[in-house]
Amino acid sequence: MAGPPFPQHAAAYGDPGEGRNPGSVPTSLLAVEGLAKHFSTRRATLKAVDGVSFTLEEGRSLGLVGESGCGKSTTARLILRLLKPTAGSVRFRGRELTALSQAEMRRVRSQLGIVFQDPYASLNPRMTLRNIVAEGLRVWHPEADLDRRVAELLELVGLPARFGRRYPHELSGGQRQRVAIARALAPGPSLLICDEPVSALDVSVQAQILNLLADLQYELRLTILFISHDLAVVRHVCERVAVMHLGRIVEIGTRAQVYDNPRHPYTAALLSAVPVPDPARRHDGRRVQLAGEIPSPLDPPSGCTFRTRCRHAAERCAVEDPELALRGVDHPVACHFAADLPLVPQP
Amino acid sequence: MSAAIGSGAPAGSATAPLLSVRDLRTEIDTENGTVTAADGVSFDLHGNEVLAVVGESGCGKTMLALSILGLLPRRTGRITAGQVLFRGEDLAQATPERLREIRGAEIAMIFQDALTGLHPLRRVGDQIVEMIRAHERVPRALAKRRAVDLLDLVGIPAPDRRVHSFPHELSGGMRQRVMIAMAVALDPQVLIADEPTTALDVTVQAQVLETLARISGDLNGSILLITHDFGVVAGFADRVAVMYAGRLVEQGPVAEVYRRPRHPYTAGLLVSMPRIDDEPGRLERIAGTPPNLVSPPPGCRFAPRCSLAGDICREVPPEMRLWPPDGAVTVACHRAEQVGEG
Repeated sequence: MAGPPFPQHAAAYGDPGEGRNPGSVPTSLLAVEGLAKHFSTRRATLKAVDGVSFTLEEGRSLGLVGESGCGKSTTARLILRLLKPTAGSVRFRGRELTALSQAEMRRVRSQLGIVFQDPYASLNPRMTLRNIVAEGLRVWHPEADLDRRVAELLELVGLPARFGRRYPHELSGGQRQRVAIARALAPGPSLLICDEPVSALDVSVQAQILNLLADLQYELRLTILFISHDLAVVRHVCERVAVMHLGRIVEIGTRAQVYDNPRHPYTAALLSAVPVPDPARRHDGRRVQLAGEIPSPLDPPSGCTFRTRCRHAAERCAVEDPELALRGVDHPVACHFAADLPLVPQP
Repeated sequence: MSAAIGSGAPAGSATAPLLSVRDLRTEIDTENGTVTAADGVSFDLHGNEVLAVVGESGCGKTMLALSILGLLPRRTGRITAGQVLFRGEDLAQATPERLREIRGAEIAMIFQDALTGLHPLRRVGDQIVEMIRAHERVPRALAKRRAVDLLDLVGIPAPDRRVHSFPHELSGGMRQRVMIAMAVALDPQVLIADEPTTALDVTVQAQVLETLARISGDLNGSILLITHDFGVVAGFADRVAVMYAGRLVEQGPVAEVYRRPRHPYTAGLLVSMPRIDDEPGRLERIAGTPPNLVSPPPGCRFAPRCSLAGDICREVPPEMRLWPPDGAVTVACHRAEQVGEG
């Protein structure tokens, strides 16, 4: 269990610097503006992503959290152009990605790494780990140097270089996810998008992968967009957090702003629903019960899409769609009453 | 949460346990060889209590649950030793007919995935009616009325309309409520819930757990909760049994085990969990991965991952023992005295 002690990197987990202006576009590595993806069927239109805007500065991490169907994974796919957006803009280092041709996009993609949820499905079972990792390198790297670079990458993610000869089925889930990370890092991306990277892993293995991501972020100065349904995980990985609900961001801010002082009733409810491994907290009454079910995205409520489950909903919420804005609090919230609601302060 | 759930039965309660699993050994044939999914597992479930069996994937917790109900895969799974005593009757020796009588009526089960537990082409009301009429001689109309009441009990809005719904017309949370309704339809004494909320979103998960707690309180039933989630255990169970690689490693009242875990695996899991209520930052972690159950390590199965392990741990499997001797927690660890020290 030994091994060298990991350095404590203040920068990797520390506060992202106070008072950072959310609109400081020029310095952003990634700037997403009004991004939308609508899927139309004969009967209805599903607004999977409906006007998502955020910026992500170089070397920082942003968490996108929400329940299933909120559009968080679709947002990732739109940024990577694995899906074509219905509207909106994605600027990477100031360059508009939505207008690029497929060939141009392929070149940009070396800058964008992705790690998917299921390490069992995302690795080709017939390829050795060496070839899986080398695949991402081949286009960019001289053939003669491939083996050395693959060995380096495997070691970077905590696997011995000799693992290069193995096949995915010989590995545990955690080891496979390490390979997926090595593959994503192979072309030397500056932005790493992680879509539920630890959801399929056991708790004892989750921590290993989360720590690895924190180390890599520090060592490689990676920028991370971390997508997860798990608020506790996001809290440990991300400096800033955006909460999504039915295709929109309803609250965005620093970890402290969102977790310690949620200003959207949905964020407060989500936080209170997370099971805490502390039996003493069982009867402390923090839980905000949400009435009813998540509304169908095919037929969302008028006005604020959360109002049908919100115990603070007023008449105004049914008619007026709240924009994501500052509203007199220290971070943007999409709730008419963000400044006034008596939301239970979270731990 | 009701008082009945919160109170629970003390571990050393004088009353006879409702369900008592004694030295259970369950083997499963797999492509890679025969796996001992449960290896000498013993625990008691008392009346009116929630006992959680918690462990990571592949630790054998689901096979343990299936063993109790006689639902192991017919060709590849079998109980090779031990007893499953339900009110004194050994279910490990019971005939398939007897087990069928007991399942649903006396011991019911809720699975993780409600879609696989419900017939996709039958209305949920009809499925509940059928379930009732398989065990009781009641007229269809009466059973139908009970189905509506049951859906109401589990918090399904407009239950008189919902009885006519097909499973695909319901959300995941609704389907899991229907499963709970079916499970409690015959007023069973024991409810085995295998990851009942794992497939659900966090806000829905909270609703379903509240429902489960309320109902088991109302019905005076006991729950055996199978889960991987220490957070769910803390909010829901009276006692917890931690399972690792086919064996129970620690067992005791939830508050005690969480306050001061005695097994290095329990201690490691509790600190490696990302939590919503601690300082964010680097997570403690357990090195390595769980062993292959086809050829598990000879001594303590956790030894290869344990920082406290010595020679004895690698050679001699530790027995379950009370630690401290006057306490309520049992632990299978040679080094339990050192856990949490320094």
